[in-house]
Amino acid sequence: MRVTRLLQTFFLTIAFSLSFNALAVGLISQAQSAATAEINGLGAPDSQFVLETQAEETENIMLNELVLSSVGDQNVDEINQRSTGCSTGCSTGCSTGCSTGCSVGCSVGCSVGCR
Amino acid sequence: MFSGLLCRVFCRVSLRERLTTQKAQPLGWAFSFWGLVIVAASVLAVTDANTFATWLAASLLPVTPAYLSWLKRTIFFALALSVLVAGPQLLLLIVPAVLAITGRAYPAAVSFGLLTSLVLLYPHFQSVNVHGPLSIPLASFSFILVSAWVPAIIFFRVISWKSLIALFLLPVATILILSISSAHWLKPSILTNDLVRLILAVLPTAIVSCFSTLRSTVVPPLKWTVIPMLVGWATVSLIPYAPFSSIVFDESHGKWETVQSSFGPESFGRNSNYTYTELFKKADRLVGRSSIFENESAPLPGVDSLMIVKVPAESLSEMFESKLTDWVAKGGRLLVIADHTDLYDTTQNINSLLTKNFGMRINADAVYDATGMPNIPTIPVAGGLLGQIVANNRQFAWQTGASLEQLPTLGIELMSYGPSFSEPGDYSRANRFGPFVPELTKRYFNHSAAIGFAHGLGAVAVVLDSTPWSNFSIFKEEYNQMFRGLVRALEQPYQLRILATGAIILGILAIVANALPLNVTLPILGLIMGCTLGSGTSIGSVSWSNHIEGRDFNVRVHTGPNARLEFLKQLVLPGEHNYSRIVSALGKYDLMPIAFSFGEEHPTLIDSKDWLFIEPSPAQLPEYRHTRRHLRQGGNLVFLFSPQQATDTNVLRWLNDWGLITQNSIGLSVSDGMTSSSGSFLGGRGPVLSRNIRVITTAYGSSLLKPYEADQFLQSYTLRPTKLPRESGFITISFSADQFSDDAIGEVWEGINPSSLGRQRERLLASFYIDEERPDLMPSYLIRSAPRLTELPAFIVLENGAKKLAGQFENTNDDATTAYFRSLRDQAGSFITTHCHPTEPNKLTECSARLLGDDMIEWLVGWRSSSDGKIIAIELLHERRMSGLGSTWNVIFGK
Repeated sequence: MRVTRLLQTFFLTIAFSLSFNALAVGLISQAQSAATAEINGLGAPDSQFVLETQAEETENIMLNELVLSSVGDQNVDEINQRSTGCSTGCSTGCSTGCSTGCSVGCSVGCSVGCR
Repeated sequence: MFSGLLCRVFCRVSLRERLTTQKAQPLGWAFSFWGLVIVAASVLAVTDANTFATWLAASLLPVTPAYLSWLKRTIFFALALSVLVAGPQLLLLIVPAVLAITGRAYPAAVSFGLLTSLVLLYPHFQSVNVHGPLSIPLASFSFILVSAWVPAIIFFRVISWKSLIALFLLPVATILILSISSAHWLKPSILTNDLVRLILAVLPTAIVSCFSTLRSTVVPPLKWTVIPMLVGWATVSLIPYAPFSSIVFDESHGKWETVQSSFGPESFGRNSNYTYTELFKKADRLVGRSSIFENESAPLPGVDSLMIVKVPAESLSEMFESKLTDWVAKGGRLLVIADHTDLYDTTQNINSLLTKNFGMRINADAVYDATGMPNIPTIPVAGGLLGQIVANNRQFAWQTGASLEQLPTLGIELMSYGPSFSEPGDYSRANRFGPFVPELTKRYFNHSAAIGFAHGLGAVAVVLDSTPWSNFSIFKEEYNQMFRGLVRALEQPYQLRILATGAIILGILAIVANALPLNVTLPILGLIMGCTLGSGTSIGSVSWSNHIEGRDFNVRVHTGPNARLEFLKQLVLPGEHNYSRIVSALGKYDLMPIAFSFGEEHPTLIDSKDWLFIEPSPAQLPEYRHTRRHLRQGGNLVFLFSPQQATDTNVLRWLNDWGLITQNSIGLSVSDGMTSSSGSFLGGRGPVLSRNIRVITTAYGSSLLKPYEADQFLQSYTLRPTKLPRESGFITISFSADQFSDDAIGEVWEGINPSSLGRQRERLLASFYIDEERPDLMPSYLIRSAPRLTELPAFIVLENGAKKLAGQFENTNDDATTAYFRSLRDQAGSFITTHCHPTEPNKLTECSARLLGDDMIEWLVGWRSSSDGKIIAIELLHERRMSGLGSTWNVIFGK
């Protein structure tokens, strides 16, 4: 009885370790791919043509059938360092709304109010 | 007046009385106050970069409450001035000297070693990652502790036990009170205030001085210290450098900040701007050769090389880490470039190398100043004595870097951010940044930004912000200085070791000096101090060297007081002109610019052949005779004045010296402008007719300058007599600097589809230096088209990917908005017919030319054709930086 339990525990432990390991390896590889994709993405255009993202075989393009979401938000929140509005933690709202204050006053106000 | 007041308060006599009669001796506690406070203030000044503390320490020097001859007091006054001019680091030598002169032998000896040791070892306090019962990190309070405990050790032998205990306990009590107060009235703005920090730091010593007297002792002859010090200094200075034969860039761990991307006239976007191509060129020019390390299995370069591991986005294998560590131990030099918040996993990958092999660890955080903005420290010139590599009294604009979690034992701070908060990254946000909100729970410390240390026969340096060396930013003078400084530091592994070891020995010796006879300790202290300062100066003296034309730069750029060179638009107020994009773009033409901000350096024409002055102040304008000689020798000068400077009498006088006068050039113009306060594309913007009024220069017939080429923005002249082939350089003058600013041409963060204006202006400015024909002011690929009926009956409008408007065209009853889009459709249809032929049926054809709408909005044009070549859909795309719209707009026409 005791031997069986020990064996069960042993195999369970091995199974868990292997699955955790596999999960960890998977996560690391996912993180690396994400980072690589992000770095490569620096060379991608900031915005896209909607027509570029549609099926190619269409002879008649019907506007009401276009998949408009295919271009996402056109990288409106494109992030590089502190470039677009993120310098003080105040994201898009601040870069326009707090134009004068961003450099000084917005460091507090924006991060709270403008995110 | 200040001296008189202090003397009257503490000495109970007037300064005149005290200086003229020996009867007026100061009271004991007055001297105690002076001695303890000057040491505490000096400690704060050198560790915390506290300006008020520097002023207090310097002010206390000439008012020493002891009988001094006029000569000595005048010397003290001169020393005080030197502290204010050259920096508080001089106090490390001046304070011991003053204590010795006033008869405090032991405090003088102890402070001689301890102050220098403290400054060099103080960065280790940032590794103290302890909160304990405190609500504020202990490292944030380290300035209070050292400002009381260091004076306690220095005056250990000459003050009472009660005073000593008070000096050790008072700061602890202060910290506890502040920690409790952080839940109530204590705010970040209070604790980060320089004056408050000075009061908190000096308070314990000021209180203790009220019930202390500093007993005097016989001071041994100065030569016991000075001669060994000079010997040590000279010996270390003779140690040879280990110069580099090449600089090798690691490209085997990801493409972040790669050196392999192109950066030429047609390179646009962040994959060109946000890379290290220019750094690669600079490295090549600096040491003679730069190369790429492409994969881990390749052999490492010779140990006379510098290997740069820059923000590795891919992990380093254990085998490679071990190989690299061994290579350093054998004499190789390694420069590691890190960045904030573990961006692209770079911190993890770097820590894997540094922690195991070098005892160093970087935080996954971001560092910012007391207001949440990037740090801009200024390191005084005397910082060069202690190995600081940018100690030139110029501002150093950090972008956003990381801080250190653990320093190696022999780590030496080469650069610092200045007092700053350390904030962990926020991984729920795309850019990994936290909110940039100053909070007391975050560590506030004079964080290190670059560290160097010896390892075996080699050396390692780590710099914690990668952005300064990107193509778009490297043109700034301070970033060039940083690169040269780090290379120079790594060429001196022995000096790095001596500096770090000397700091530790000095500290130990200084403490031991309290218990040993001075005739034993002073010569040793002097020798070690000489070695330490000698090695510090060897490393830091690079701060005082100049940039060399051809090696460090080709075009020298000087900006006036109103011109900015920022990379974050948040730092530029509306109405201010920022010129980062146009200056950085000179690098695309191999012009390698180097830019000095206003006040950093007075331009001297012999320093460079090619110059660019942006909104220069009249004081920056070169003298007539120098300019004439410069042009005669073939040098080129471009002056971009702002329109407002056309009325500056000093500028006009300078022009008149050259026989130049100003006049208006007026022309009609149509612009894409605001027609209502809403400012939106739909209803708020439209074509605006206006007059474009520009100030231009023309030359008198008697002028020494001969007109060469002129347009509304720029007028170029050569020097008479005209010779063929031309020998004279160009002088180009513009009062349209605003047309070259980021607001006009786009910022450095622009994507791979630049605005036509940006592309044109970059080429235009470069053409003055590369002898290329000046490009047309109207780009040939930006085309207006007369409307021509196109049979596409419907349209959709998207702003930033979100549908804003859709409609059908009805030939008779169109409202104004629909009519606008009908006209736009017909312009696009005409444009496609004449300028954009289809590639493949049913596939999107992207036109290389751009459409300039009637309302002066620039569009990328794409369209699809049927198999018989008919247009079945058109799409116009406006990227947010192309015109003044600020959003990305897609306008699609179809059925």
